Amino acid sequence: MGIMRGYMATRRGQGQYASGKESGKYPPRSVLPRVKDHLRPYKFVFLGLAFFMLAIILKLMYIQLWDAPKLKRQAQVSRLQTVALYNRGRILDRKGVILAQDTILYDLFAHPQYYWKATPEQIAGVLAPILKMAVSDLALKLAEPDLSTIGVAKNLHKSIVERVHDARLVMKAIDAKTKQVITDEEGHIVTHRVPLPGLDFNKKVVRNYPQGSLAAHILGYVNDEAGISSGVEDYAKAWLREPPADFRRPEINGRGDFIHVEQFTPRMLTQTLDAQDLSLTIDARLQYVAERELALGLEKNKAKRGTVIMMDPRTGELLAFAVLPTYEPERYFQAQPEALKNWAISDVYPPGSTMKILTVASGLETGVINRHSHLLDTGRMTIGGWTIQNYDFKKRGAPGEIDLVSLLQHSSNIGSAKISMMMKPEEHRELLHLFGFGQRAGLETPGESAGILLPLSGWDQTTHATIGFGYGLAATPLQMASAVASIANGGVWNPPHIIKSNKKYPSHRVISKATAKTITEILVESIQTAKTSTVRLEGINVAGKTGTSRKPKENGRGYDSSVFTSFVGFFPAESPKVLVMVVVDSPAVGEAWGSTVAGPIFKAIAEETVSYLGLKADRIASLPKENAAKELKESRH
Amino acid sequence: MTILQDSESQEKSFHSPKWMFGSGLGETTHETVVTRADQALYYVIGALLVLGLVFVYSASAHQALEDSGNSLAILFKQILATGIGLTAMTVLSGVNFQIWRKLAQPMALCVIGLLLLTMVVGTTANGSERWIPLPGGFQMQPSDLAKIAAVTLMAQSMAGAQKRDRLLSLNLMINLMLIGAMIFLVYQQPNLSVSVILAALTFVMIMMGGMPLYILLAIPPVLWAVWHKIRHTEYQWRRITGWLEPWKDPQDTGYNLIQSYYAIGSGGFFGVGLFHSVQKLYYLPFQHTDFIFAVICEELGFCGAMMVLGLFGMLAWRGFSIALHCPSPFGQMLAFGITFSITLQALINIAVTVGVLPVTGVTLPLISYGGTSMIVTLGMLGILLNISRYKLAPRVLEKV
Repeated sequence: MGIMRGYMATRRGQGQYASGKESGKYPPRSVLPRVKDHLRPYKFVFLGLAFFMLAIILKLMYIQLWDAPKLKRQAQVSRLQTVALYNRGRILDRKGVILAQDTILYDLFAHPQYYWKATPEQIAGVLAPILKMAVSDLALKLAEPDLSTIGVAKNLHKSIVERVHDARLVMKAIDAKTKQVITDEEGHIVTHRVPLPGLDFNKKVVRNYPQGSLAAHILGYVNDEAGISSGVEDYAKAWLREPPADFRRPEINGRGDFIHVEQFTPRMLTQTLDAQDLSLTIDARLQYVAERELALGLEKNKAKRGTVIMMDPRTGELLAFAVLPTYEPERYFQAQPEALKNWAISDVYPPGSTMKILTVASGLETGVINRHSHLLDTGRMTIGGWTIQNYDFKKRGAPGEIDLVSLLQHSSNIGSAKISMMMKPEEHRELLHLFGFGQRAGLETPGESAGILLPLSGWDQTTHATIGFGYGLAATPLQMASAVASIANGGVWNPPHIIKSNKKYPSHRVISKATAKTITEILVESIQTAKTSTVRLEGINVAGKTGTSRKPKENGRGYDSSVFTSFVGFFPAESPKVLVMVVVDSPAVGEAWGSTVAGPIFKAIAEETVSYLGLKADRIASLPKENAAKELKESRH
Repeated sequence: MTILQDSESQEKSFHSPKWMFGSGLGETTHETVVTRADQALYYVIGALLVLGLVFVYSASAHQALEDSGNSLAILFKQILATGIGLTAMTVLSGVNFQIWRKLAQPMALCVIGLLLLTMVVGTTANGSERWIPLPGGFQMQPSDLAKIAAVTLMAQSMAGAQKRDRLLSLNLMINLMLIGAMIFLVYQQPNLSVSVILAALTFVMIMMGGMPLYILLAIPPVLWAVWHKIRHTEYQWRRITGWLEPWKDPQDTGYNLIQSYYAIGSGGFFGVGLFHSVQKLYYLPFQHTDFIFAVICEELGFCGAMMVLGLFGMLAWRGFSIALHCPSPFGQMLAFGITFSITLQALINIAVTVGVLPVTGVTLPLISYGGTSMIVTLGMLGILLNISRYKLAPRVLEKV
């Protein structure tokens, strides 16, 4: 303190001007000299600080006066709980069968620091039977060193969790002071039962598909954390995630605890609400039948892939949409990329002979042919340097004059090409456009292709002719199904859809009702009068057509040796209620034709559908069988 | 203090051309007088302390309750630090400030020693070693002491260095080296913001000491070097991008600033009411230290923000006024340095909170939670109060 003494200030009162009595001698502050010599640039510094403060004040005014309402709202929204307190909506089929739902599963964790006096072996001894694990494995897992949290088991159901909660460990009672095992008078060791120590469950919500892989490509899959989804799960995510009407998000603090919960009852904060359900037009039963029969057909013919589309032509509702190969939506991450893809909407194929339905219908609609037209089928012809021929040219040669029934029955390429070329290209293309080619059908799943319909400028003679029998254009199986469905629906095209709603879908007329009726009659007759048919049903008239188209090469021009075989048909022909489209890609066994591969699949599905839907037998009155046979005879001449 | 107007002395003082300062008074018309310390400064400090304690409690209660079970735990520590600081202030306001002229180098050496000690035994927080653990669970942050050490060193060198030929004295070189060592050690912690404040303080004090203004030319290269360093240090650059475009990365680099905007904006003009801040509930980072101003803005609104700025403005006004009226060149420099360092730190903290500057780890003096900072700041204000007692007065006694 020695050095301090000299510097201690004069105490108050000792100074000449300090005390109140002498204050009269003290000059006012204003006359004190302002010492500037040593602080020369002080004005710069003051100015700098003043500017700094001004900048702060301006920014504060901007934030607190101008931007405040926006920021306040944003802050409130940012504090709302983001972890959902309600489940994603369920997906149901048209009859209410659950196709997808949220379920609560539990992960089991162990914390070794809370085992207390129990050894991992003791805990494993009780826990292993409940989890159906080997005791030794589990004990090893529970004794994992250097871990404060051990993941023991995943995705446990509530029943298992309850059993773990109820399980008791038998422990020897130990005296706290002597650390000795306590025995009773008779020398028996005293035991007590304790809950399993150090275990902890983590609740989580997972998407569950009770029907397994049924309608996988329609339902799609979802992983909210990774932000990926497909199918309806993707298309309708906003609907499925739409909070229930009585749901309100509480605000939470930065650690996830509720704040401002005055308006919430404890129940509102803890119960799990379900979001709104989504009903599909799919019928789980028909879907099952379609998938089963398609799988059988693919196996039988060793085919690469296939699809069955079942549609209600009156509304455009899809009753079933089977796509193979398939996957399990719950384990989508294990699936092959090929299986994940809904190729029936994303890939295109040349429709082949099924297209002839539309060619004949277009011909009738434009008036270039009528019901009783006959065409000269030469079996083979050359257009624009390209030779086209019937598939059975080698066998049958030139059939000569044929009528429309025969054209469809024998699938005449020459006849179809001729009808096609009779039409004006712009009229023909306009009709194809109305049938839905070259544009997305608008199904409620992502990944749909628009197909290929060349612009008029690209239509040369050959294109126009080959379109007649389904080669100069490419379509998805779904486009083809919906185009034929418009004929079944009396000429009005309905957009195909899978979500059941009261929404009015934009439909449009393609051909007249009369034309639709005529082409239906021709189709029925061509099947009814065929010598052999793989698709004829007992008591129910089917209107349909097979197709076999060569597969375009994956790289480059030309066609592969493998084929697409297809069948599209609807029934009952009098008042069509169901349309079934079958496409099988690259069957590898035996002779692969639409009638041998796709036809039987169609028939199996159609028979089961008829009995399931209780469709009544019908006959088209205007077409007595003997009449048809007579006409056929005449046409063969 | 009540002072009667003396028209004669007023006249005389206005018209007397020659002033002399400090010791060696000789033939003068003015002399140094010792008066009461600056009263307005006491009120300003008191107001800031009360505001600070209220908001340290408001911002820390929930966290203290969850972490230690006692919502007052953090407030008690701060009250203790404030008590120690007020004691230090009272003692230092009674110690003639000239003592610091002699204590400047020893103090600087002590600070350097403590900074070195920090590197050895320092506790790490947020990626930098800043604290020395003390017995009883207390901690000490030597970088806070570096400020007062730098101020006294520069005051010592620049006082009386007004003549050009004395500018580049040996003393100045030694002191600049000592400050350089401190800046380097603080920078190594790493604590870029405090080292920048120290450098700015030193620079401004050199200017104040009468250094020709061409030293301003030193600014661009230094700025370029700092920019270069920031540009090539990833975490520093992320701070810059987070500051310029916080909404681009609201969860990471922009998080702090956005939460601060939310807090300040939610306050509006009148605030959401004392203790009613929501953003302080683990949304605002460092809500009772670096971002306490945001809590004030949310709870008291624009009015409260202006109040805080006004109080710091008054503190600056009183401090600079004391500096301008001090008869001793050393006192002038010291008072100026103390006032400037506190004001600058306050403005930087507030600027960071409102997004005028990128996020740095600077606390709000006298308000933010932090014992060392509180004690050192109050100690510095004690020295300032002592300086305020010495004034130059006309030699009226001669007339009697």
